[in-house]
Amino acid sequence: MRKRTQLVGFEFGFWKHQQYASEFLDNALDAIEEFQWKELQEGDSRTQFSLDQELTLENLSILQEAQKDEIVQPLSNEVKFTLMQEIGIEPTEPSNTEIESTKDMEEDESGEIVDKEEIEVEEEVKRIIDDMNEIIKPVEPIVDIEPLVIIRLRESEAASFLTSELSQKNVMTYTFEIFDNGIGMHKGDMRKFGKYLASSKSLELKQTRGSQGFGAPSAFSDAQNTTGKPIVAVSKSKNTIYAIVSEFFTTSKNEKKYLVRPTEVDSNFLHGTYIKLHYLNVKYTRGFVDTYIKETALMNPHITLIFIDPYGKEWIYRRLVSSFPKQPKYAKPHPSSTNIGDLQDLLTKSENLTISAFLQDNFVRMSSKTAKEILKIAERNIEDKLSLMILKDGFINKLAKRSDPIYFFKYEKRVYGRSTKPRDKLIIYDIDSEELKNRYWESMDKHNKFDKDLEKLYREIRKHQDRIDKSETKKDIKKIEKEISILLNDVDRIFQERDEIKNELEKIFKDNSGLVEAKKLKNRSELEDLISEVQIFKVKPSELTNNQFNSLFHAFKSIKYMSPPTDTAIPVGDIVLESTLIKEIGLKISENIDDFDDPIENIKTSLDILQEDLKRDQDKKKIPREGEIIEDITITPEDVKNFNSSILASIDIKDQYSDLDKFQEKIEKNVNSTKEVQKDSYQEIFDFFADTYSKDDDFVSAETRPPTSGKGLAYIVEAALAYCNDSKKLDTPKRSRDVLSRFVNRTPKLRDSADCAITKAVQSVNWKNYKLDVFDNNLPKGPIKLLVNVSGPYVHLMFKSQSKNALAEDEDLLKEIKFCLEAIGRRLRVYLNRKANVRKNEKRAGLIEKYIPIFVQSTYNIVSQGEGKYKGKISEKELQNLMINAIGVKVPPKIKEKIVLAPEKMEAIELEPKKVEIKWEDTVIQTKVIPEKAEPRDEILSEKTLLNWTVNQLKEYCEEKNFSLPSQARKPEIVRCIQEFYDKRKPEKRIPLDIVAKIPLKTEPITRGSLIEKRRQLQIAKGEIIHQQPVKKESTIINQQLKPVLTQTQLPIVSTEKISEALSEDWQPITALIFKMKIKDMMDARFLQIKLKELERKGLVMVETKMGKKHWKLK
Amino acid sequence: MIIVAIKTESKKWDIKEAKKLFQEYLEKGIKEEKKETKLPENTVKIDDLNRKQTLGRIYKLTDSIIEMIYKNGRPSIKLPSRTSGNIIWDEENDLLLLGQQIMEKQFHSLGSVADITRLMKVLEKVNELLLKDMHATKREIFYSAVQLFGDQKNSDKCIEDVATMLYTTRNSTHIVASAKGSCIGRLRIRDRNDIIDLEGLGSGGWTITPMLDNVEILESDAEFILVLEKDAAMIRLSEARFWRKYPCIILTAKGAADIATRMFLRRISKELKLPVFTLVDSDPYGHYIHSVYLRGSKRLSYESPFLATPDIKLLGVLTRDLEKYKIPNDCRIPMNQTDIKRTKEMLSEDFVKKNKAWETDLKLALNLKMKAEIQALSTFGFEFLTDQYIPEKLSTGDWI
Repeated sequence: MRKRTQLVGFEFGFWKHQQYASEFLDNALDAIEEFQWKELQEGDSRTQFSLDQELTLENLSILQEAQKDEIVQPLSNEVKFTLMQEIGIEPTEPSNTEIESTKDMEEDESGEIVDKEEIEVEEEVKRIIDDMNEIIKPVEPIVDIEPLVIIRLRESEAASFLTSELSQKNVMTYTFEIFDNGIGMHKGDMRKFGKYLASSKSLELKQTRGSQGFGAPSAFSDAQNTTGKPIVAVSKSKNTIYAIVSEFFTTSKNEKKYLVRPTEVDSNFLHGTYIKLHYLNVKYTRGFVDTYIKETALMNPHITLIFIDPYGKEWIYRRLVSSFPKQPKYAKPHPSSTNIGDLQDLLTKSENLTISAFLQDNFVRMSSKTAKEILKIAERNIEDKLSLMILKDGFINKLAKRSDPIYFFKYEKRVYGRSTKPRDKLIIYDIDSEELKNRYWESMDKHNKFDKDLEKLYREIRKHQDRIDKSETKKDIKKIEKEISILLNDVDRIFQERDEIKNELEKIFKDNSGLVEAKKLKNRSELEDLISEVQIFKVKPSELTNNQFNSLFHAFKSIKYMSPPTDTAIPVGDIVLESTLIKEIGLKISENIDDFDDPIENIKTSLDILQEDLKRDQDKKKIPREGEIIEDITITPEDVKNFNSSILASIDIKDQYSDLDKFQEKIEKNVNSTKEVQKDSYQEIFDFFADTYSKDDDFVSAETRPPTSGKGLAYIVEAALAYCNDSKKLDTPKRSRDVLSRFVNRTPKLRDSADCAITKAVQSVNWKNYKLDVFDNNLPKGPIKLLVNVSGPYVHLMFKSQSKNALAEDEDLLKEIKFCLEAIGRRLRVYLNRKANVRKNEKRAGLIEKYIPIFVQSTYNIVSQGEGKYKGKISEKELQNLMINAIGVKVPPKIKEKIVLAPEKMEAIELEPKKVEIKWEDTVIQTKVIPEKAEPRDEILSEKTLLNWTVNQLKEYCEEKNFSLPSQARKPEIVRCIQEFYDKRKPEKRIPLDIVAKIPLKTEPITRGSLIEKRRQLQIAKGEIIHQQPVKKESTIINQQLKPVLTQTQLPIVSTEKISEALSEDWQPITALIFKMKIKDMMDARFLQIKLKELERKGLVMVETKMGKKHWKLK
Repeated sequence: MIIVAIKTESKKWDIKEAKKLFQEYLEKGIKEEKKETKLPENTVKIDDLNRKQTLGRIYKLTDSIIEMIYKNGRPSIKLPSRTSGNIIWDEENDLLLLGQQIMEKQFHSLGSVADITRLMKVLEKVNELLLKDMHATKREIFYSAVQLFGDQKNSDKCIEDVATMLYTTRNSTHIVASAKGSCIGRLRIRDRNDIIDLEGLGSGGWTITPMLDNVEILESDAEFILVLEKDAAMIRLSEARFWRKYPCIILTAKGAADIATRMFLRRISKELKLPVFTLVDSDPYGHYIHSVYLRGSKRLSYESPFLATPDIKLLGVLTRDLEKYKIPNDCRIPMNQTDIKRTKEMLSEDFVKKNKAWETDLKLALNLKMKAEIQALSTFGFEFLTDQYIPEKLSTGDWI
């Protein structure tokens, strides 16, 4: 038998450590995501991870915690108790949901069991639990509310049985532990766990990290093969009271040999899985596992990752975002991406009765019409193959030689065998009459001629296709393709004519005249088999013959399908990527670069709104003053802009930005004075802010491409690039492979980088265009980090090899990645250009400064020697200072135009000047107290974005935003609707009460508000928290999250009294208590568990652990 | 044994055409003295100033600079642009002049900060020179601040800029070019306190001083001035004591015409009202040297009114002379690419186009693609130049 380790390939070397980490980490992440999605689906907000809090894990240290040597933390359970109430886990009224029976279900175990003394087993279980608790204890307060993965790798001494050869390589035994608080496993799952192809994930094909069920079993067998130590697995799902512990070996028969049978034990987590195994490998070095985990954390910022390496260093990657990725939809395979083996597998497994049903059930983009068409082609194929022709009433064989006997087959109702009822029986007729024979041959000759024509055509088509491969220009290819399509038309025509012959033949054999039943045929059974084989539409999918299968596959592949739906691919998202990079590297970003692209444009839109408001207010004012006749005041955006400019005009930006109060004061003062108007003030102010704030900025930009579907695969390409000026945070990578991080479905790919399509695509970008240096292999160089992620279901089909390390080069994929990177590159170029400008200005300032003393001295000398009017009145120093101060100051733009507002307009503006001030102050105070939260970017989506969405996505979005669409709307209409919706909403969102008061309001967030506030937010988000002084861990969490509001009105059914009622003099496990207390809800049971622990701590009850389970009795 | 120099009898030519021209000039000069030359309106007016006036202008300029510094800390200097686009040929007076394009040198601009600082440095030096009534050469100015100027090209440019900046001549700034010209012939001058007779200086002649403001022209009985391109021709003529036979003043700049030589030529031709003939090589460079005497160089176009000597006649060596005197092919040099290019450039100049004879001669040169030096005439004997060529041309009026 083939060695199982070869399937995934665990080989001695540094990579093996990483392989272990990746196999289990991927599973863990999938489990966590699956848990959350399931919870969200069920709408059970009590157990799902709440992600809206900022997570700080500053002072978390699992190692230190472990060193405390099991000092029981008196707080932890209480914390948990309150925590659970905080997040809404409260005892509830008994519901109808039944708790899964906690009693042993006495199912037959397929694995054999090593008999052991019960005591031994109990000790073993205790040891396992202790081990597990060592890493879980420190995170206990958050273990049920934060998505979390902990990996611990420990080094033990070299195994003694090693041969000298191995020990020379510095081989050590490693203990690998991983814990995740994912969905956990039921008992049934546990039983399958560790066996090949038992993955629960392979049932539904969607965008997951691993899917085939090879990883973990292979790891298990490698682990036990190298060390001879068993594998430990502990798992608990939300719906069980106890966690299940088992310790086992896997066998070569794909079965398990238990050292510890699945045993129920107490656990301190609600759901999750813990695995521990030992393996042998060369000495651990950094750069493999830690890199893998670091990169995983980058792409999975929604999960906290903790890794403890053998040197005792903890790598903690806290959760950085507050949203979980969307659940990818289940995706059926697309016919174009299905190969012959897949189809065969599906067919043999299928329980459908007809092929048509099978096709429709198993493939996407497979309508009944398409299925019919496939069957028709398949039928035609098999007809040709078996030289039979299916007619309406029967079958006739196709012959080429006149000497062969012609048979006509027909099912007729006959009574035969033992049955007395007539049944269908295949009757074989000989053809007797010469006339019939002649007519048959007449048609058959034609038919045969068509066959020959067809062959000829096919040959020609093949020739053309060869030419396509050889030709280089697109023009040539198009030309040849055109020729082929003409030929294909011919083929179709011939098929039609052949069908006509069929009709003719049908007419010939309409009635049985001239037919003689052939009774004594030697090859009757053969012929009968043939007839049943040709009827492909009648066969069960699982019972296809070889011929049938081949024809079916041929037909299956010869049809053109719609490309697969794109909503099955879920990206990480550009905003998430950007914020992750900012937080992870600690980039200094004062304002997103996009917002600076065209400030004037932004203002224009805001002014449009403003203008509308002004108009509306004007209309309102008309009503009370009925007697007067007021002319329509038309205010153009230009007027508004001028008015606003007038406010800004006389503000000396340079001094004011530091002192906000003064700034406001000044604006206030200028609200009414429209004497000097500066048209360019906006631009100037933006330039100034851009200069001031983004001068030392780092750069980050991410791009998520719209989903693509090519060759039967739907996928999304996304990339992010960070450019960091601070070499402490992000050093310029010396090796090209450190620049680029490749991901597939959020899983980092560390090996085979040169072979990968992602690398090739990155290399194909002309980075010099975007002001980046390149390595010899054309990968970009500089203080940058580049992430590229390809997401989608069926990505495993895009890999080059089984090891799943490199994506195969696909033209569409390469193009997508390239476009994606180029979009980022364009933004990078803007940034780098701006940076270069700043540098140039600085250099210029230095140069100019150098000349000042010389210039001043010359001037001074002339003046002091001569008889000019300044003789004796100037000092060199003074002149020098004056000139130095002038460096870098922009020449104030000349006032181009003095805007004279028309009298009416002036009136409109100066209507209530006093009110203006009050309103202004009000709004200012408001904005001060509650800084306007940065609007999420997708709040108002641009037309372009909307057009990139699919119709379904748009509809979903509309539902989310709660507005109806005309049914049957097409994409452009929907987009228009959405935009109209925005337009409607905009003014509502921003209307302050007074006309003039809102002018400063509008200008204020743009100039000062958004920039400074956002900047502050960012500082808070990245800087302050990172540099926070370490606080006691519990206290931070309590302070942040806990304000226990106990709802006393709803009396919990799990009260201390009730528990003491239920407790008796005998030892009772928790299951007995649950039964006694008639607890039916899982959460209540969980609550009982916590309550019991509390009582235990207070010393009110007695506890004894039997078989890993706690038993209670009254004191 | 005494070797007696063989002196061939040479006939004395009657240089009647030259004499005629001399008469004409004399009359014209007296007339012209009465009327001022009028410059076209759209040109910059450059004044020849004395020391005090120049100083006054310097102080005015520095005052304005200080005012600018007090205003916004950003001084700048405005001066007429000296780019070729701003050079205008004044047809009436046959002069190259500066147009009214102004450029501004700003201190706070990376492109001009060095320029303006250098200008100020030069201005400082000029101020010093004027105050002490001293003269300095360009080289001296360059060495006063080598670090700042970097290269003498830069300081030379600034020196010229300073003159335009003050709307005055180079001469008024007391910065002089080292003169290399020499003069010999029937002329008596006074340099400060020394009276110099240019006839009695042996064969070397008098070296033209750059400080021409110290020179006073006393008397002369010459009938024409002969400008030579090269020192070699000068030696030939002075050895032959050419001015004895034909009353004239001989002048050479030993190559390209420097300011002092041009200015001196202008002065003697103006003050003595003498016709001027040039004898240059028959190549585009020679023609160019002639044009510089005639109407000034482009670089110093603003000073043309003080440097150029209009109405100079090109005596030789003309291209047509190559055929006329049957100069053998050995002595002719084929033109190279640069020569052809230069000739074409010359042909495109307005003042050449206007002078048909000159244009024809240049075109002929282009056709033949041949050039020759003055020395080519020596193939007919060393005396040919003095005894035959020049006198013959002067008497027949064979000039352009």
